[in-house]
Amino acid sequence: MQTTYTSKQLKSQAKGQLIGHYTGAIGAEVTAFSLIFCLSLFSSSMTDPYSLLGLIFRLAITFIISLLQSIFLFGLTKYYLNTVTAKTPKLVDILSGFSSHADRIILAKLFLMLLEAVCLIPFIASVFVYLHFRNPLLFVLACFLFVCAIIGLAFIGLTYSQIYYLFLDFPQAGVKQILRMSREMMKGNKARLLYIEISFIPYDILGLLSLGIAYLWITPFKRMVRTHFYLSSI
Amino acid sequence: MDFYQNSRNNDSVQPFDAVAKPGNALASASMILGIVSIGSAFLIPVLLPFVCGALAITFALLSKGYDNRLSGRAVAGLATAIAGIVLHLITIITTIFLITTLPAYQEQFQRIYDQLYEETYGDDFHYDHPQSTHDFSDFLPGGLN
Repeated sequence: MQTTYTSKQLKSQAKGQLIGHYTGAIGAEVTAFSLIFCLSLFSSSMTDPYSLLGLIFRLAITFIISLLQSIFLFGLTKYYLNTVTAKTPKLVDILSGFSSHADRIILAKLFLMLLEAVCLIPFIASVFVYLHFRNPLLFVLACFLFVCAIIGLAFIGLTYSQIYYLFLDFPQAGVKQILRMSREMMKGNKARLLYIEISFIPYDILGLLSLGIAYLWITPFKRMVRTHFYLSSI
Repeated sequence: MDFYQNSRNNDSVQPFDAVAKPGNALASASMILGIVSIGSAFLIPVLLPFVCGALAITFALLSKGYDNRLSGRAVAGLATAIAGIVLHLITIITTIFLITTLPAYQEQFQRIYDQLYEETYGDDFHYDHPQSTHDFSDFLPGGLN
């Protein structure tokens, strides 16, 4: 049964749940980040950014890495759900996406990337047109399309924010079904999640002020709040 | 029924009003970092007070746990961190004000700048002090005449 908790209650629950679990959560975050970072570093060192072929190769590698990122995100989601549900979270949880749901996660991610591309293409096209003609009116149009793209990306992000949790909760469901479930789940909840995400801005400022060190604690906290949001919304 | 829904129906999930042990370690870390932030606000004119202060505030906020109130140590950490950041900001603003207004500080600043320039590049900063029209102090309001 759905219980609507306020942002403050969700944060309080997340903070309480994380006490005593920070070491493991930070370890999981750092491991996932390091693996992705090493892959990115390795791929960028292999390509020559000044040739067309190198540029295409780098774009392809970036695309593959973003797909891998989604699998790690699924693993991290499992880690935090295990923490919340009083199971013993393990570091190997972050790799669980590779063994169980990789194909479905990649399909869902591809769909989301396609939607994001649809949002961004008009803006990118308008920038190219502006750079060619240098018309002030086209600049205004590009700015307007940029705002539209941001709104569209935020809408997509919020609508399909629950897919990784749903993949875990409904292992038998197909990709289309999961996407539909996420859409239905977020009906009437998008503003609530947006408010929660905006309320993280002061934490982000603290993270930046500490040169990123505070993100080691802030990131697990954010993910835990999102996990509690899912549990309170389903 | 699925894996996680089963787990959620268990008693093992903490309710919102559950009593949990407060984040003592985080609160203590917050207090120590807050004190370091204040201590370094005057001594080290770099980013250390900001870094320690921001970490102290983060730890203080996260140490609340299920409670709605901050513990004594977390409050101390929060207060010292804010004080450290504010004092450091005042120190920076005062330093900039003194350098740009008082000739004595301008001279001192220019001397330190020259010294650092020489240490870094192994060469003097190219201007003819003080007759040159391209004197470094020209960039500062008030000049150095």
